[in-house]
Amino acid sequence: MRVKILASDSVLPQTVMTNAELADMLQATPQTLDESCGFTSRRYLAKGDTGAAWAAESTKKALEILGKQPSDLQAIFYSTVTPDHQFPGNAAFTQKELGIAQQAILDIRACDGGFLHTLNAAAAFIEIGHFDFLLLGADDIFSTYVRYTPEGLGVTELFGDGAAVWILGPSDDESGIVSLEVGNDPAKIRSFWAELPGTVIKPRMDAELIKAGKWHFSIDVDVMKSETLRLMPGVCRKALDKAGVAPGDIKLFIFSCVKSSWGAEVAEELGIAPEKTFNGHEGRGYYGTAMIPTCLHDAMGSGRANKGDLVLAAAVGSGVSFGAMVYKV
Amino acid sequence: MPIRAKISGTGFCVPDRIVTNDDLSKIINTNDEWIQQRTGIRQRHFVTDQTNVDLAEIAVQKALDMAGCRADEIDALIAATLSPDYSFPSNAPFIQERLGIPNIPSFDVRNQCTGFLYSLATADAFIRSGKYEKVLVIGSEVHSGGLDINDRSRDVAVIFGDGAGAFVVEKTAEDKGILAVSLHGDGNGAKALWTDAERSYENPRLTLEMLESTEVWPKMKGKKVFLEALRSLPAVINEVLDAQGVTIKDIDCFAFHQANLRINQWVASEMNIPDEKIWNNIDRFGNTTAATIPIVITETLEAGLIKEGSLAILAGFGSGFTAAALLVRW
Repeated sequence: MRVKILASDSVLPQTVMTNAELADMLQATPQTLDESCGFTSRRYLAKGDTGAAWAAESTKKALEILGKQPSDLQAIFYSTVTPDHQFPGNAAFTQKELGIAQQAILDIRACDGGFLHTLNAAAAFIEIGHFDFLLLGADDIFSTYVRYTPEGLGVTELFGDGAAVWILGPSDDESGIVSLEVGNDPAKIRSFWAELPGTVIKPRMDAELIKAGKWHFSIDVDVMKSETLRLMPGVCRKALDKAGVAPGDIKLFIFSCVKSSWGAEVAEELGIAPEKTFNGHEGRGYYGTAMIPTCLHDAMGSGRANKGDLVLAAAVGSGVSFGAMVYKV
Repeated sequence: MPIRAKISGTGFCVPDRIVTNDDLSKIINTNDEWIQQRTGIRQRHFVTDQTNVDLAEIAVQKALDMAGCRADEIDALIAATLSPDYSFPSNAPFIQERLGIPNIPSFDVRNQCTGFLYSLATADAFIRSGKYEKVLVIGSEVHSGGLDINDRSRDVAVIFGDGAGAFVVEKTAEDKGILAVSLHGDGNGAKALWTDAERSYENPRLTLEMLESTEVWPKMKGKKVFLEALRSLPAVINEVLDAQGVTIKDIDCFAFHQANLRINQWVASEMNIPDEKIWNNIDRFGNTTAATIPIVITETLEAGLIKEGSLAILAGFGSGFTAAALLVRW
């Protein structure tokens, strides 16, 4: 029995931040940013938005497609590295926003590869028959994490915000997850991280930490590039082998990694033609765990992925978490 | 015989430093009698220089030793915590780094008081679905640096302690292991036990105003949490009993989350659970959140309350709100 997407939805955040606007803050030229990120604008949340509010709104739309109510959901699994509050997690707040109770709520953190890790857990519960109508939510809000000063140049321009939901259940045909491989290699764990606030420092929170802005994340872009190029092709091949399909059988390649050019290099290495890749960064930036569910939803909605097509979706990010999935639409 | 997930190893670690109620009463306006009367807590352990991952690593090694399992035999690692070493990545890959086991899947479960039980249920689903055969499940907390130890936060500051516990969970074809799982939540109570800030949807997400207004420290509406626990715990316990057609009398041991002794006493009384079947240790460790259940289970195994063939119920309730119970045959 395969686990499939019964319905899905994605959020297009309403604030457009162009390279021209950002260049002023980062004291760079728009051309420098164009070259750095490969796109000219990204999307940020607007005032009043939250991750859970996004997820709840998207869930209502996805449920409407199925003619179902929020109360029909049996569980809410959620992936984010940027929760609305310190705790509890966004699954609880999504449940609250939906005005429902009693469902299982599970918040999983595995950073940028977190969506595939959370999907892997959700699929396991469906495969054993514990749940058969489950919400999987994901969001990342990076726009409030980055620096809008010259120190942020090289990093800030790469990131955006995003959210998406999938409603999952057992498949009654061939469609669904054909193979799913996930892992973590902590060898370069400190190359993309937010050290603070954390309990390694006591007290966990103080004025000095806040004044010094120590809560911003740092990323060594060169190291993350080499980790992406090292880990993504390997996990993709593993997922393809397990599915018993060749790269040539793939109709669409979706990738989640900090820069779209890295995904294009992985596609080339795997022998997947450029026209078969889906660029989720264009006009959006990199929005972490929400990229794969957003891109697959958008691809299915725009005719880039059609019934019977095989889609390869892969992620590498902080952790260093990685994963790949072969999905039959 | 169906494939099940059995618990083959357990272990725990608490830091050496003991902080008594009298010690706390030197810093904040409280006293031993006040704390014991409301919570049953006499003392808790606080770290001096150890981190969350340090405690987790020790607990894991003990669990691996009991299971007779090497770290490199582990297929997946799940770490439950609300007090990770760093903002991100999660605690899980840092524990993985310590254990020298790259490439396996690892992630954090952020479900607060029921985090360990949700993680255990996920390990069960992984094993029964055939994805993995040996899974490490860890619950670890270092609360001591994340509390507002101050008169204004007295109700919360006196409750929590530091500690870690771990299970090795593995595939078995024997008639033992996790028999039933009940997982629930109610986000309508999300703000009854929470830490509001930092807030990802505000820019900047962390400010001096948030520190001054104490939004960065945990807050609890004690009465609301207490009453919801009294409603939720019997419900999840009854759900796993009904799932296997067994009754309270068939159960040899009840391992409850150690949030408040008074909650556990009320549930025991309401459900006619004899005192000798319950193991409470909140008096010695306080509430170690994700670590309470594996610490309790390790002690019950050492004390002989759980033996080969025993039926146990592991149950908890807390922030989210979340509630969970598992029925396990040893």
